[in-house]
Amino acid sequence: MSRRTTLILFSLAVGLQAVIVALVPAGKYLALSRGRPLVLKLAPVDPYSMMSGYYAALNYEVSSPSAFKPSQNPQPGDTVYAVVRKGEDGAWHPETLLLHKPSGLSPEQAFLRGTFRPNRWGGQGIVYGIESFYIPEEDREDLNRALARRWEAQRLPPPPAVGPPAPPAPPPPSPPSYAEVKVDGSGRAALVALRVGDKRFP
Amino acid sequence: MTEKGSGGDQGWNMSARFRGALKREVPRWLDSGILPPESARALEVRYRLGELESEGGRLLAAFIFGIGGLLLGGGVLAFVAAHWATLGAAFKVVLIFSGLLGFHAAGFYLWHFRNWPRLGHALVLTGCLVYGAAIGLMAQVFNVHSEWQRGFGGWAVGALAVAWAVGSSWAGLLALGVGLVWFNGELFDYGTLWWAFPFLVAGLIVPLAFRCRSKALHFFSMVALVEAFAAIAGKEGESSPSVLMGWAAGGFLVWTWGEFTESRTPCPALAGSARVAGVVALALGAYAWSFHWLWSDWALHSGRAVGNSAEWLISVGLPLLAGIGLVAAAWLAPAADKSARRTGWVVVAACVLLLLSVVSAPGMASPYRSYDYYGGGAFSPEVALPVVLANLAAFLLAGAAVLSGLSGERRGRFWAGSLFAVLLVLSRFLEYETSLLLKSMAFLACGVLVIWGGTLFERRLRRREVAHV
Repeated sequence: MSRRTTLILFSLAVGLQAVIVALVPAGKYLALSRGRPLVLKLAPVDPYSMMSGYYAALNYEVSSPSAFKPSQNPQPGDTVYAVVRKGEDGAWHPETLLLHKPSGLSPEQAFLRGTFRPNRWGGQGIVYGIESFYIPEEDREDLNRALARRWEAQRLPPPPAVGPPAPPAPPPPSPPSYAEVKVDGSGRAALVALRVGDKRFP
Repeated sequence: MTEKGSGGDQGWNMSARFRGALKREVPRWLDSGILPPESARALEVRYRLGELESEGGRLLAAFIFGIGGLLLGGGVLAFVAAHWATLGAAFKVVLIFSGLLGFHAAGFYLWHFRNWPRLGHALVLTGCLVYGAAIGLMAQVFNVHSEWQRGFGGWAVGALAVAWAVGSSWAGLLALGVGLVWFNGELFDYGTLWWAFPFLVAGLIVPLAFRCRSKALHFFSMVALVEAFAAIAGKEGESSPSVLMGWAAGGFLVWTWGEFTESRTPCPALAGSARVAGVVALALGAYAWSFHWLWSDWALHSGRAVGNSAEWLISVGLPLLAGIGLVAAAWLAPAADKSARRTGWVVVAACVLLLLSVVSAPGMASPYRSYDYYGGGAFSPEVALPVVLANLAAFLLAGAAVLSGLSGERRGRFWAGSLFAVLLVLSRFLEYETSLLLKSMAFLACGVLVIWGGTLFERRLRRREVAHV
């Protein structure tokens, strides 16, 4: 093989590598630039696995199949479409879980595309590709503290050991946690920011 | 690529040790008049004796440049990682692409324009490593969370493209390694493309090994194929016998590919790596499943005995059919060595016994089974047949290695087969309850047999050497 041919083939191969690297964030970039903004409610995660290195592991209200009205029965590995509806709090809450792309949704509805599979906490869940969040070093401690405060506040008090059952204590006030995402026409979601209480990351 | 049987091919085929010894001996034979000068020159050309020193130097240079390239890449990555959090996203992207293109451009320039092939090759390989890191870093910069194995899949595709473009067996090995990670991720983490892996190895990596004439890449491709077939067969079967079925079929295919390579391809020197991978895989499978507790434990658990038909077709049906076709094509060619065919039939018989052992396992005939009445680890009479068949297969493979060593006067094969047979006998005596006296007699008999057989073999080799002189 001549040097010229080798050079052309090598350039094509390295070009392919560059294209693959560029494609990694391409879907997210498209969703960010063209997508519809939604606010999703964060669900509690185990605080001990919450921070993994420089990432926060995120769990959403829409990550749990039981949060949706029973409809179709997905199997692990299936692509699912999670229909959400805008609530009074401004966040979008789970409505129906479908195995096909939904159509004819009202302006108060939207859908996210995910994969039905076991989640990192052992149960069945839905993964949307927005489950980890890279934390800049200067924000890491702040976010860690804010998330930990939030999840601690959501824990139920332990039942009393003896005596008559006490009336349920009102949940302690805790700041709500949300994720700002953008969703494109195919249901692909991209994470924009986290809102924990009055703080926004990044 | 050099034609089969040409002088150049013979020189490439022989080990550096043999060629080194030949290089030392030829001047002595010339001095003592045993060898005429024209024959000495012919030997020098045929075995490339003049290139030996530069080959040794190139190997050392490759090693040094390889280590240097890795250290350089590691240093750059560590430096960037130390400042990573303080950099903006755009600057990070520029750094990622600069690193990727810079290593490749410098490597190719030194390799092809400055005649520094080893250093250039090392930098191109480093570029392929940086490429893998670039995929992960881009995902981090843009908060992309995806199926983890997809990153490895993209890495394998890019590394393989570079390997083919410049004929790099090292980049091919990298692609094979990360491709194997991708395959296992797809298979066990709800992916859908796992079925493509054996076809990609057979269609893209094995031909690359032929192009580069790389025994290492060829050998590891064969190992990857066996692992892939076993993993696919065991995916849905949820049972060890299913794994053995894929493992045996993969070992058979790889071994038959070695037979085919020797007689029907222009690179017979690569046949050995496939045959060794195949026979070692079969022997490992037969040895592991020669223990009764593996079958008995399996009988304890109820569940699915076999996977779906597509998985069985890919992991067992296709390798068996392809193996039969390959060995038929190989054995239709005129055989230079009839004894090699006899050894081949012994290997085929061992494969058949291994497959029969799985088929005869209790419950394998039905898709679902429930055997829960045996004690854990206790010998169950229903697993006697598969255990006996697996043991027979293991002994046949040991016999095939001894037979091949005897007929081909190959010391390594003879001793490997003998020691494997001894290992099997000792394993059985340790596995089953027998008296200490019987155990000691077995150990003594094995020791005596090994020393006696080995002495006979070594004497025979020595007599042949004397007869040749």
